[in-house]
Amino acid sequence: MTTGMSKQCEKTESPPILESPKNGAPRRYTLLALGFNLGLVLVAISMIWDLWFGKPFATALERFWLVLYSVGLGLSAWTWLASSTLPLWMRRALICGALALIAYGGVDSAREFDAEGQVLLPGRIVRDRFVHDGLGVSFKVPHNMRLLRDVSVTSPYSGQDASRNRLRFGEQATLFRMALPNDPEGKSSPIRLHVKPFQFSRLDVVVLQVLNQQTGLASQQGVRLVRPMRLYQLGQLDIVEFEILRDPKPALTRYVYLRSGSYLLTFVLTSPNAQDRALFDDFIQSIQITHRTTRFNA
Amino acid sequence: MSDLECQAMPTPRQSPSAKSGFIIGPVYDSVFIIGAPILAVLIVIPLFGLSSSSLFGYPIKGVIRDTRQVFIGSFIAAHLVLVYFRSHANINIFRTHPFCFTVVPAALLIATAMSPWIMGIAGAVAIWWDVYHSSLQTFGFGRIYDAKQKNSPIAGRDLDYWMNLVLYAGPVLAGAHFMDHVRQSLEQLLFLKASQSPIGVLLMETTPDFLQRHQGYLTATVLAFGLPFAIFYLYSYYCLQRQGYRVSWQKVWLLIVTGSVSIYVWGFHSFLDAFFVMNFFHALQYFAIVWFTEQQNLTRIFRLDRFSFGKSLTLAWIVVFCFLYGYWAGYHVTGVWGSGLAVTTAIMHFWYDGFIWSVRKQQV
Repeated sequence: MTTGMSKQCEKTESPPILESPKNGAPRRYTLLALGFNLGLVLVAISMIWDLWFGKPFATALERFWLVLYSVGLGLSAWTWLASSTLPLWMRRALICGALALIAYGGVDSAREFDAEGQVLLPGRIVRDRFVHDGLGVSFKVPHNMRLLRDVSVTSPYSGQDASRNRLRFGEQATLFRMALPNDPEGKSSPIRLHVKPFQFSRLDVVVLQVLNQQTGLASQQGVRLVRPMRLYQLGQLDIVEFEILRDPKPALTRYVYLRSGSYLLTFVLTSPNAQDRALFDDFIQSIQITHRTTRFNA
Repeated sequence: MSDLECQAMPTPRQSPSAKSGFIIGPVYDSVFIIGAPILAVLIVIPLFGLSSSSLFGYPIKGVIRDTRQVFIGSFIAAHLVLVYFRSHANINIFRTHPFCFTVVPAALLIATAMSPWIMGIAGAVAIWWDVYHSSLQTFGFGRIYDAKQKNSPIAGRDLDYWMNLVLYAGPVLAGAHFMDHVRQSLEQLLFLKASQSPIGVLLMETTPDFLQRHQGYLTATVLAFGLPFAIFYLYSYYCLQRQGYRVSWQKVWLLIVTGSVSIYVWGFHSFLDAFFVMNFFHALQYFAIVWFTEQQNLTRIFRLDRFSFGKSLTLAWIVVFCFLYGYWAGYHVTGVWGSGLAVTTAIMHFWYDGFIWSVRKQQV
């Protein structure tokens, strides 16, 4: 619909927000435009690589990806700002700020990638505590138990690489087994720790996943849900847990979920004695996670 | 009027086919706006009825997904971020509501990232706002078609508003999938139940039970209002026509097509099929109108205004980056900041669309 007012407005071009090549240097504008679009090509390639195929496992390849992404972002930010009509001082400040931010993000991402490569290292015992430096987690080992460092990975993918040192989404590692005097091989380990990449977008997604697991277990034959899922905080730790009882040979099992940085930890505590709840509670009280994000909603 | 006022006013694009009553042109409108719901049915329903979903399985973050759902889901999420190319990249629009375009999204992003309560409430609100907003997109197109006939921007406005709600939101409220919407929105606050909150029990157990028991009343109310209103709507337009109102047949067809498809998919197909059809055509219409109105501006933004292939490459960039965003937001987002950004973008899309396409202010 056209009115007199809008006709009048049409005569005035909308205010230019970009440097027009008409009066200045068309070649410079063209070069900046090509640089900007080349940067976008690099960003698009690295995003497609990351989203469709996942970040590479090998450090060299991951660094290549990171450089590709950072150079793409840096080039497009620099050329786009340089070809704008903002005052020169502001353009320079924004370019410096953008490049510094991209560099910081790149270094942080590389550091996180390196830290994630420690997850499958075996833990160690320091005094009476199990300590896993790669996860930043430690807890008290009950006095009658012996630690068997036996890292195993279950993966939905075919062609697993035996020499790898990190987990992909969908994979789960079991970091150890605990042996009792009457079970020296730890076949029915009373404490197990499963680790998988933390892939949740927010708190309710974590809760939904645990709820689904609870529902799945509780629907099995001979399994009773004795304590439904609950979410609580213990110091700095966010914890979701539920408890089931397996019949006919009674075994009380508590599933305890925590976060340590990029990983979701699941402690599975099992006891043939239904009175062992207090021991479970003591064990959970002893868990410490340091220098990692422990909030589900973070 | 001063130059400043002139600059602040958005410049309406003049389509060569404006006299014909189309927004863009007969073919473009027929395919991407008026015929978009039929196109969505023709694409989505056969796609999901083709064969077993195992053929389309693809692992994303360790979870096997159906690539058909991923494609349609990404397209739907992609159109949400497209709003920024209108609200923020168009300086004329940006200047009309700078506070709404800067402070509000930043505040919502921070609030959703910091508080699971706000995140949950925003997520639940987004589900219902989406239904309302989608109704009003058809309303908006109808108003533009009316404006093309040089009708007054207020003639029949309230009638169209309610008619579009009846046609689009009515089947959702009255249909079999009402409870799916309720459950989906309450799941956003699932953590309340896990933390043994009485509000959690109220929301997760009492409310769905109550709504399920009384949905029959809601269906009856929608039908009792909707059917007489449809007759009243037609009669009112008959009266308006006698007073000089010029009927836009494009609007008539838009309403017939949208209403028929809405009733057909919500009433006779699964929740997923219906959801994908309705959101697919909504997103397709949105891509069409944003590209039509913003193509010159966006070509400048992408620094391609001096190249002969500039428009084509700009369109390719828009599609690629919106799709990448949609795929990320739908299937890859991790952490509260990413999740907050996705929720904020959805809410801002629904909100901004209420005032950045005003026919009365001649923004289109």
